[in-house]
Amino acid sequence: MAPSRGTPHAMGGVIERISSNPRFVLGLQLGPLLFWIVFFLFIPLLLIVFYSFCLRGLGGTIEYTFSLKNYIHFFTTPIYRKILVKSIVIAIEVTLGTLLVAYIPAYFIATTKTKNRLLLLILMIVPFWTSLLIRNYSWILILGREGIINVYLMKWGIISQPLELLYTEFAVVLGLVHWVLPFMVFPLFSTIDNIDFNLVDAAKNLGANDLQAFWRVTLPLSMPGIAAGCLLVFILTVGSFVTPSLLGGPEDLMITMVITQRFLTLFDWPFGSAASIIYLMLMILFILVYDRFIGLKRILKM
Amino acid sequence: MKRIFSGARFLKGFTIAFYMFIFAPILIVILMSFHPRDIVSFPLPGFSVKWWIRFFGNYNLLTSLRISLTLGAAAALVAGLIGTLASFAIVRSEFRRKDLLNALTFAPMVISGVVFGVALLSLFDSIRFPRGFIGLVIAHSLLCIPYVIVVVSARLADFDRSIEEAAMNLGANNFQTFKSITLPVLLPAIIAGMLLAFTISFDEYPATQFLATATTATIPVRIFSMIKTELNPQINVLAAVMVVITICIPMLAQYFLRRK
Amino acid sequence: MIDLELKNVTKRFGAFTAVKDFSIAVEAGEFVSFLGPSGCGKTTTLRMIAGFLEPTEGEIFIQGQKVNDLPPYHRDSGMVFQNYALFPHMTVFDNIAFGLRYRKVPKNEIKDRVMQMLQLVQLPGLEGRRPAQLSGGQQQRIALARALVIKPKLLLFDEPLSNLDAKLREQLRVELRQIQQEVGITSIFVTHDQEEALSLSDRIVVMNAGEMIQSGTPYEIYEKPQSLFVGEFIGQSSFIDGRVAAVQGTETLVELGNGLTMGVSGVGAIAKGDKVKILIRAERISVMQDSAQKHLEGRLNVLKGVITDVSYLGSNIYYYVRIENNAQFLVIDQMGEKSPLKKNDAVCLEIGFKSCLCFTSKTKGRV
Repeated sequence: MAPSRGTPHAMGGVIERISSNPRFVLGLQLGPLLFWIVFFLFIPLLLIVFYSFCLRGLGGTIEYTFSLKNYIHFFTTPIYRKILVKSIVIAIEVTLGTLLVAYIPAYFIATTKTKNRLLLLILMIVPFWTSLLIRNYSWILILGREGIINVYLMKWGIISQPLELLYTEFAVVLGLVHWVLPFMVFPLFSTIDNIDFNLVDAAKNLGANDLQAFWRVTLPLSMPGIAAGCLLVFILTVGSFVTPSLLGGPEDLMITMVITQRFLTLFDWPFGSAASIIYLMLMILFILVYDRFIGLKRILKM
Repeated sequence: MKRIFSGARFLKGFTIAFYMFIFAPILIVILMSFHPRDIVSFPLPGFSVKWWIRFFGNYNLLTSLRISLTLGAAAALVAGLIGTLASFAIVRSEFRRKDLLNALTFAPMVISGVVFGVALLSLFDSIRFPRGFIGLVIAHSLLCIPYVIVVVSARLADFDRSIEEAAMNLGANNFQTFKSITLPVLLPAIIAGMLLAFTISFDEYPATQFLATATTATIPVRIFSMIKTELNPQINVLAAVMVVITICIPMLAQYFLRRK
Repeated sequence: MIDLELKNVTKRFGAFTAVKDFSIAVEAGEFVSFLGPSGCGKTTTLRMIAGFLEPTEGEIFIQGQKVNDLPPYHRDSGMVFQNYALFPHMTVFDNIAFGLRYRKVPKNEIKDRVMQMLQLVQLPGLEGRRPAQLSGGQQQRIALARALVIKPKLLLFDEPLSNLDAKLREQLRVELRQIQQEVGITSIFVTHDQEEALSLSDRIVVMNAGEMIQSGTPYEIYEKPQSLFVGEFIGQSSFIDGRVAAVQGTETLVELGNGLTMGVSGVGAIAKGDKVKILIRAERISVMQDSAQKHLEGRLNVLKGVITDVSYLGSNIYYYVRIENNAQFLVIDQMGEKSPLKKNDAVCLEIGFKSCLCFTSKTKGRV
């Protein structure tokens, strides 16, 4: 609103005077959000920082001391180190896999005729909003020992023994890729859509063939979209829980599963909190590194 | 003119395969909900609606459906209100630390639901606030706020402010202008944002698992434990219901967004 | 009676001064244009009158009442916006009735007045449409009706025609003037289009860099620009640098270099040896084939040159002429039934004394 002082001439109601006070209006607009963020995000996170330095007492109680034992335990126990590494490895595999799968459709949508483009984009959104749980469940039906793939491969005599597809790292990566695809396709689409294709024609006019023109012009110009998509996908995957829990085997543990197990079955909140903090630190570290080398500002603008 | 780089056929084929890949799981679940036997098997040995009938006779599942629907509606309302108000400040005002606020607002979108869930659980536990519906509404609304802000602030950024000035010029004060001009023009975006918030809430599991109780088990909580323990065609029906709800609602949202 | 008065109004945004010490008094029924390049402060001034911005210093009076502290919704001014600013969720009827509803006008009267307005802007029968179903020209007419129906004390126009295409712009300009005179309402019209300002206004205020440069009737602004800026901004002209050679009677002789001299009218604060710039309106120069004009040879204000370029525009023709001291002239010639001159033709330019406006290079003020 245009900043206006109090309105002495206007002896209208209180509402009129209040609604023209910019500071009051700003407070009204941001107050609830700040309250929500401070009380239900910030303070809870501080609380688990605090818990992470406590210890598990008898019967799942919390012993209020200051100790680094949880962190030491996490980093000195091979299984937890392995889980941490596995979380990162899976996230990297998913990020690369998603990029490979998503680039071509994004390119296709961005360069196709306007009429079809809208339909393709809408079709892209539909699975985005379909329940993740359900999509994972469906992968169980597809990949299981008696799932669609095995049943048909055996029926056609291609294999004699069912393949072990489900409860493997492959299944986890597949399920995650399926989940995060839209987060990659949309940033890719919007950057490719903004590319001035006269540049590509210019490159060809100067003697580049199609592939060279793509490699030297289109691909470098779509870098911002690739960077944004990879950031999103990596972050979402590292913190994913549902897919690795449903599609992974006993070896495919991710850090969120350690946290859940500690809180819900072992009642070891302090260790679970420490694992949460380690996860958050990992994210912050990743974002800082990303910002250092690629720059967050560019992404935030998109 | 844009042009498709050579190997147009390859591009098209790849894209078709891509769409089949993203749609296959969804279609298969719906198909399987009409499975006639007690154990899921392929190919579909027949066609039956018996699991659908059983679903509508299953008190527990229907209760969970009711909880999920009310929870989604409540979370969408709270997130819609908070997110819309905040969008105004974010788009229209300059204030210190705006960047920080933006980052904090979007934190729930990127922080794992698991960590967010245990953090809230710790808070509720430490202040002796009983777990249950209210806690779930708080958690879900916070998770949904970023989505509302994305949708509403995008529309607000496009908002032609001269129509507000025109209204004031014609005699409407700030509050009347908001009521008769700003809100009605923005309403489709607000509704769209709330519908999207609803679908986020309706599918939320990672944080919900820590905050739900036996009497407030949502549909995702049921589905997760069913998948973990007993794979029977009942899940297929539940899944089909979820698919229908989570697809129809965003489509409704799109409809509202397109209506200007 | 004075309907609008601004007294020493200044508007600063931080360190930037958008409007500087601006004063004006507008008579009832007068149509005043604020004309200037973008960023000159004209829209800021209009928005201060409407109440969307508060002046940093100075006072604004509408019909004698000081309105500095009055919010826009109590100022009773009707504004017409560049982008029409119709309410997209309301019908044409509701758009026009909007202001009346806040003035507690009874229902029947609202209906009558809205219909009357639709008649006035020549769009009867469109009351049920939505703005999105109207063309740009129709939308702007509705916006005008919406502003007029509340019988405002002032009508404010913020570049209302600039979003329309050329033909429509001209047509609407004529209609606008007719309606304004019919209603007799005091109007302030902000524009960067000189043709609009010249054809519509009783008075034009030329602004630049937040300041009023000159205020006067369209005739005065065009024929008697007080500064080089106004002369340059309005109309199409050529400029030529020179030095005062002599001042005799009501005429001044200017040395153009290369042995050329020109006579100009006006004998302001100027002395022999002063550097000056002469402005010559392109349509006031007559151009003739050189060979046919032996009798003009040697006369003052007849310059010889060569045509370097020709742009044929149908109703008139643009010649770019280089004269003997290498200065460039633009000449706009009405075609009539002559056949056009060609590139590289040698020509004579004849320029009347009164069409040569002379500005001192020091102050940029007119002599």
